[in-house]
Amino acid sequence: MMLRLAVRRLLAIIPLLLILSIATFAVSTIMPGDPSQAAAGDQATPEQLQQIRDEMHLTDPAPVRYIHWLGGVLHGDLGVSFGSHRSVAAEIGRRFPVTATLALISLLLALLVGVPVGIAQGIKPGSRLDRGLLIAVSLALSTPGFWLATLLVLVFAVELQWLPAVGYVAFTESPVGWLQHIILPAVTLAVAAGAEMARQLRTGMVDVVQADFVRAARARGLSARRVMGKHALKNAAMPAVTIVGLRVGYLFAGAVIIEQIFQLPGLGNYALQAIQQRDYPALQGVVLAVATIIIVINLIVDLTYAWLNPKVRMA
Amino acid sequence: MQAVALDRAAFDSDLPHQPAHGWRRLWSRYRRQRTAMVALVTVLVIVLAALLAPLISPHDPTMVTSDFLSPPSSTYWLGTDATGHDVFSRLLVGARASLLASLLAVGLAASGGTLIGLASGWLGGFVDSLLMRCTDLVMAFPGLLMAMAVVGALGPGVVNAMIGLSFAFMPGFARLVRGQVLAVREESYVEASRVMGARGGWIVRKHIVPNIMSPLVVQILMSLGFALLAEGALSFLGLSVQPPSTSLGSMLQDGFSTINETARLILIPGIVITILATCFNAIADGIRDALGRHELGALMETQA
Amino acid sequence: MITAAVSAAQLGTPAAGTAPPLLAVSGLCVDAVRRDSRLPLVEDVSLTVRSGQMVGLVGESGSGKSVTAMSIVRLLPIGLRITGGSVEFGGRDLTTLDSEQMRAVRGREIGVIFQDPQNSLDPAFSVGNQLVEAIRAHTEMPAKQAHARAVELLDEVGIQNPKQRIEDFPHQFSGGMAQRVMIALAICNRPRLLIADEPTTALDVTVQAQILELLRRLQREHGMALLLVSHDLSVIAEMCDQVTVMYAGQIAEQGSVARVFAHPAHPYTEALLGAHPRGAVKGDTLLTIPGSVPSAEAMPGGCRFHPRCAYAVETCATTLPEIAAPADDIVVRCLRHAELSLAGLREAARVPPAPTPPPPGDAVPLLEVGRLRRNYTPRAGGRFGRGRTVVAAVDDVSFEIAPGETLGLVGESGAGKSTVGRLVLGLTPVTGGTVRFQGADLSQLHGNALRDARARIQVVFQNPYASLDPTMTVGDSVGEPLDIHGVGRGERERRVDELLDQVGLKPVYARRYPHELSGGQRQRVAIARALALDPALIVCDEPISSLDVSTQAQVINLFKDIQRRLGVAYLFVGHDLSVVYQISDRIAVMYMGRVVEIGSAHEVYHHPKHPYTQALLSAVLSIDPAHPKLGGVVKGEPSTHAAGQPGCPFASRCASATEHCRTVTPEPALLRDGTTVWCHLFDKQESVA
Repeated sequence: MMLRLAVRRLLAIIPLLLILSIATFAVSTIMPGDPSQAAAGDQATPEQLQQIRDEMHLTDPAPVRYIHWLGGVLHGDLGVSFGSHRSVAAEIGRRFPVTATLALISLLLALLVGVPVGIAQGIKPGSRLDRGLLIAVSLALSTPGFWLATLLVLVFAVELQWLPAVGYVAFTESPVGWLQHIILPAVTLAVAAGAEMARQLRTGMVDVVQADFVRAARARGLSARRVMGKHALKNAAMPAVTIVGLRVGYLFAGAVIIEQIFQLPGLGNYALQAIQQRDYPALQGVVLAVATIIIVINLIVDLTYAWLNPKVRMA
Repeated sequence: MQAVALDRAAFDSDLPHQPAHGWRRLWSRYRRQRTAMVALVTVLVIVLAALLAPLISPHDPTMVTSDFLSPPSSTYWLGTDATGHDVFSRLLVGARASLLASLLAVGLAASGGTLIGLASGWLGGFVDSLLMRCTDLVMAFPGLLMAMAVVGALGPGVVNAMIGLSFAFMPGFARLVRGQVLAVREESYVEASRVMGARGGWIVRKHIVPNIMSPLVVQILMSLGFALLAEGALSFLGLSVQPPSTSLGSMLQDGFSTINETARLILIPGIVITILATCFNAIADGIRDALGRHELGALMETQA
Repeated sequence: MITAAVSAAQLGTPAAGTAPPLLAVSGLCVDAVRRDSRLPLVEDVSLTVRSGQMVGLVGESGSGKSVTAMSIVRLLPIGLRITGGSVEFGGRDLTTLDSEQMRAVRGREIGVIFQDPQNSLDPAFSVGNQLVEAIRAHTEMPAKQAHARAVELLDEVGIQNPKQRIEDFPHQFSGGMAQRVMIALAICNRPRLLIADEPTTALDVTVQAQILELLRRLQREHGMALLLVSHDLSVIAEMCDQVTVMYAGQIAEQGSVARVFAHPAHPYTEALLGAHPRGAVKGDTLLTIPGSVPSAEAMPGGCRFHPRCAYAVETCATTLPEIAAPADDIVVRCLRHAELSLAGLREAARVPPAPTPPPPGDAVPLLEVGRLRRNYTPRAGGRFGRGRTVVAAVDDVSFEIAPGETLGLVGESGAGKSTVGRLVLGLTPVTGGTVRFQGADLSQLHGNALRDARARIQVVFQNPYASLDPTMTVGDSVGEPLDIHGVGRGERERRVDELLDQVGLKPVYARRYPHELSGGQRQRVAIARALALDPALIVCDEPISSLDVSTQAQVINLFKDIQRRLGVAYLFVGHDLSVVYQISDRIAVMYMGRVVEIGSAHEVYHHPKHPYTQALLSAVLSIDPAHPKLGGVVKGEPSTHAAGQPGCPFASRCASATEHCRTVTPEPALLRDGTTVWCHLFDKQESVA
């Protein structure tokens, strides 16, 4: 059952990816200014420009260029960056692990804090603990990530001088150095994500705790721990899983800014450079890569949801 | 006949004593929530101060003085920044820019999303699946990246950034409105209206729009909170409000460059953004609770 | 705990009046506790249940009956608190137990089943998982043995193929089957008391009969006591020995079922019995209880019932009566119990003489429905639609309605009766067949002609809470049809007042919003709105099913009254044959999308022909406790019937079905008494046609 569902969902994302590629490609066509100018720089001669235009097939009609571009993409060729004149695919490959580890660590942190908080709140809504945590959660959700980052730098780097303010060291070079550099950005990202998770899980739990089947389970003499830990949690987890999935996407987005503040050489940092330099092959590459990751994550979330929910699983 | 007359006599005696419906009733319920009221007053004060900035700001926000990074004093209430601007005056202008930008993004998103949602929910069929596929796609894409992609394509600037941001909020509105339309159009009162001979336009105008107003308002307020944060982030990255204009986000960016000298310049705009965002969310929650039907009445109905 | 179990086991026969009762609730008070206030929901309620006894707890919504029942096992929703009284069970006061001791009582000594079985099972786990869990919550039984026991239990509660079905998830069970699973879960540790909170309210009548029969069988076999909570007097009459009648959080009256139904001591009991459609003789105006049940926020002073009581005197408004026990079998809370002599059940069994039918139709029928068909495709078939079957919601349905006549359309859920109403209204497109109204085929009309014709067919829906737009005032709702048809302002105002008057509401109601009205009042508004365009036909889609018993009678009377005055015809859709019988001139019985029998209300109700109609009628419970109990309950539940599939749809459940019934669709047979029936049993009877 699950396998068939997985295949079906996999097939369903193909058109999605296709639309995405068109949308991404369209960015380059609506971009104001002459791409060849951007590629060649301000001092380029008309001959150089013409040569670039030919190389890039800029004279072809848009659909032809799209097919050409898509062919490249399918072979792993995302073009050459205007800024660095290096392969976009290689650059993304180099930077992806930085962003991915950042997102993953913050996701873990968020789960570690958000899930217990949400459950603690949901089991006894309206209690003093719940109300206290509610305030904390709503503050965490309203604090801008980039501001929180600056505050963390202020406290831990400038005042206490425990951690470096900015920069990055690869894990392979120095694991301790890597941890020191990644911890502040990861915490920054985890705060909002964890708060969102706590809030979703609380809502889910509050609904489920009042559900008929929880009352019925208690009427059968099941222990509170069993009713909450088995029946309530599994049902409350269903909507929460969806949110966690969405959050991973948001972590990637949040990483864009956080990487900028902490000067981490990740995808976000690359994207921002691309925007500032109007480097559209790079921008297209990043957008395509991130969107693909997000779509894949959504697929995983969908399947997890189906695994949790027999109604979907058997449909 | 007699039974009817008898019943009426009894009915008049048991009329529940409740205030009128609609916005007045909502307000009377909202007013009872302390947190939500505090949030509302706070937002009103900040908005008023921002709107009246030219009248109440003690200095010209663009004026450059020779006092760099001076601490708060009677002249400069919140001190000056690294360029010598009066921070308080800049804060007022910055808050206004941030609020207006957020309003632009949410306004665009709400009107676009409502239209999409109405079309999708009311027309159904092919239009519905097409529109919902598209919103799915956009929704999968984080809002900030969307805004950055648009800025990347159209160039930096507050309007471009907010257009990008509005794309990110639009699917949320579209789905909300669509869901509401689908729910409302199944209601017996809409079917009764169709039986009376009402046409589509009448039903949308008389039943659907009034009934989706309150969830829409809640969504707008929540989105305002998020838009404020996102606009801050974009300004911080230099993609939204461009100098010489200023917003809360760009003030933070300026402050970040002098983080080793003083924490004041990152604390002040950050606190204002956080307060505003918290308050918008608290107001939205307050309205939601005021609308909520999980009160005792509902409880008793299920009890019976 | 063990000593308690022994002492209760020694109790012996239920009749032993001297032994201590199994359960003794005394002086129970439950409040809804808010931050700044507390509302009493249950006040000073006492009741006892002896071993092996069947005790009923009856009341309308807001009476506090469910709160009382849930207080016994301490499963109150958040915000409700027991503030007084005791719950003695097997020698202990349950209100003083700690949570672990309480846990050991729940499911082990007291089992509970609920109203909504499908929501009372955890959707995320298989029923086997939940059964094994419930068994092992109280015993050390190994998992494998518990699984075998679970299969046994499913078999015991009447689930076919228990070995396979145990792996299934709750959503794969029908309502009736899910309730059987709930019962298996509740009795798996052989409790001494089973609390059943409206166990059959969500179920169809034939399924209700099966579940009640099952409960009675289990009760007998295991010597279990049963506390049955219900709003339905007939369920209590069918099942119970003792009954407690509750009103507005208090006990109104208590006693043996035989005594309470025959000689009620409280005016409320008398009124409830009188308002019950099954207690009334057709053609009479139903006795009504004016007003509606008060809410906890607006409790009247003095006797809670006095504003609605026909016998109220001045002191009733000021003095709350004490609970009195004037005689052996009587507990009552009424100031005037000593002086009143109240009527019990009226003679329900009396069959009225068949009404003389109106001279047959020289008039053109108002509505003619011919071979109406509506197919639909269930959505469960997955996205790529493999293996989908087209199901006929309405299959080859024909009938006529004369001007001013009421045709009742009865059937259980899934019979397609509401769909017929929607097809007539044009809310659902027809797949095939014709709807002719006042001689014109509606499918041939277009534009304004169609709009004008349709305006003369109006509707009243089931749920009074969904049928009025919460953002519109009552006046705007009633005036909406007039606005749509462009009636001028002054005329509109006048008409709205007039319409409100016709349904018994004062003009001040025009300015109120729906949330300020009770369910019955909203339904009156919906009726006023339906009358605005001077309709010739009103489709009433289960218009009283969501109302309390005491309000139902008011609305039925109103429908009859309006018909007498305005001559409007009704297509009255309902699931309760006795209600439909009260209001209809003729009745059509539907099963699985088809009409199986159509005839005069008298013939269908008193001399049913089709085996399904007979099954439906035998499942209708009497409110007379002396009436013979349920017998010969029809087996099974409706299964889906694919469109175009030949054979009689009822064949799979019919006791007299033959192979012929399964393969050949029966043709209509018009019998001498004017009834038309679709059944092969009548093939050889001479047809009048």
